[in-house]
Amino acid sequence: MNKYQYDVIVIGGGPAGLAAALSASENGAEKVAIIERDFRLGGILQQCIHTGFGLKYFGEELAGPQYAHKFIEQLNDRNIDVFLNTMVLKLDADQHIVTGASREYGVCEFQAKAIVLAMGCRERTRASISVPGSRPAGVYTAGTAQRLINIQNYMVGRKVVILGSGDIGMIMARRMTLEGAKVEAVIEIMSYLAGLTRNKVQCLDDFNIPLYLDHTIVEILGKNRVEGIRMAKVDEKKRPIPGTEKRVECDTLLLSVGLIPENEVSKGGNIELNRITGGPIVDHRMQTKKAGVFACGNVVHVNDLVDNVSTESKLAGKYAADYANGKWENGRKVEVEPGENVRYVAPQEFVCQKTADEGSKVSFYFRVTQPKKKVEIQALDGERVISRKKRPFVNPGEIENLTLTYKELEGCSSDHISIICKSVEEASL
Amino acid sequence: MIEKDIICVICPSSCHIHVKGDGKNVTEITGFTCNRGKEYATTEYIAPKRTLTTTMRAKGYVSPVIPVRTDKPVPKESLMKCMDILNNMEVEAPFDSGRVVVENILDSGANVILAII
Repeated sequence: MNKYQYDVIVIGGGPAGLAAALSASENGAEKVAIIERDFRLGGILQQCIHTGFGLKYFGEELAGPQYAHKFIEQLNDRNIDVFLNTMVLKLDADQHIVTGASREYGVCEFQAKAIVLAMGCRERTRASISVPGSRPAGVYTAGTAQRLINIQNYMVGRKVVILGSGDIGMIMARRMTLEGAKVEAVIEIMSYLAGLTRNKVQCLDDFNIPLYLDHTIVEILGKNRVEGIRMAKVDEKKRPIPGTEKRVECDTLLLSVGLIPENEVSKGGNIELNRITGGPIVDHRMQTKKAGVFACGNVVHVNDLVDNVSTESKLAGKYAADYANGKWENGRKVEVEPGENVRYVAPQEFVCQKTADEGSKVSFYFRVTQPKKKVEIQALDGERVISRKKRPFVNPGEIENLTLTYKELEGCSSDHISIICKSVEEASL
Repeated sequence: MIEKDIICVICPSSCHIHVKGDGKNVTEITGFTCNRGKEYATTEYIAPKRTLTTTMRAKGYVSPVIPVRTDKPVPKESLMKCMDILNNMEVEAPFDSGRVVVENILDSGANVILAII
């Protein structure tokens, strides 16, 4: 068996892994390696050929592969090893050993001082949402269709219905239209859009593709190939309303019904996961519950912008380098929990450190449960408001954040902070 | 008088901007909350433009098709015509990110470039 030793090993060569590896190297880790199962780096950005990436991080609007290219160029200037076509099979999170396999290197074992998990996420499938009906060919997840069309040059269908108004679904509605398909409908069970508004405007409205909110698919029709679907309006409990069914002819159904962090490797390493995000519980340094094992990007929680993934992953890389170099300090832990109208918060913990500059800041990212207008976001230490900010509106499809200083966090009397989002009228009482 | 409701996509605030005019000139604009939004809505009213991203057939590349984009937005109504042109061409090496493969497509002033890793 081939054995390797590194300061920092990064699992996954997508946007999270690229930023983490680069940042680990920039922050003093001498030997850094990325393990990637695909034949090249870039992860999901390879197939995201649309623009809209990098506005925050690079200040310009890039296509997905261009965004990845910028990181890979910087990577090439540094001494970072890349193991391509290498699948990670096992993680020993206590001994810091990663076992992988590839044609070129055989079964290999990587011993690392610190490990960064950057495996990204997966799409939810038909099985995860239990759509009734027959099981014909022609039902794809939106991301699979995206890969087939944009990389493998295989057009998946001509008459398309899309279930779910997530970003990938809307982007595929435009992509399929440009390639000559007719998109009959985008169907969303919730009363609001799951993805970003700009995608509705530029992907659906531009091409007159109808969006049906408060609707779902009650049956998939067809024996060998999809022949159509039956859709229905849903009531407030999301149950189909009898008498509202409508048949739509189509040969293809794309599912854009959510993403789940990909944590098979983490589970094998007994890394504790959060029930809501499905990703590892991390502290503000992106360290999981296992010492020296870090996590970043969509493996922790599903982001809507790659720019945020890069920012968060740079932190993970920096702290992994610090850990590898013995610059590490543990202290009192403050847990950060979701409160009123907040579904989850990441990172979930803050660790007080004596050596840290108290002016440093931590951004906590969260999603709201319900869309609301005119809200105030507050961080609470018991009854006391530590920090607050107003927002004109919030929406579950768009990630929010609240930034606190180390001083504010260390000054907490309890070991639990909650983040809440209430309407301004209530907040001012 | 031609009126248009435009949802601004410059930032996630998604302001609903209402524009009035004769189709070529704006006479009244309401609902914007910043100057970038005002500019966006004005362009969107007079001559909406979009960046086109698609793939082209590629000879000798690692996959049968290669991602391309326009380096500037092109008139919205010309998107399908651009697609016709690009779907009937084949790209050859060198495959360098940013290389121009079609100059000034449909006289739009925009070049089509390779947008690759």
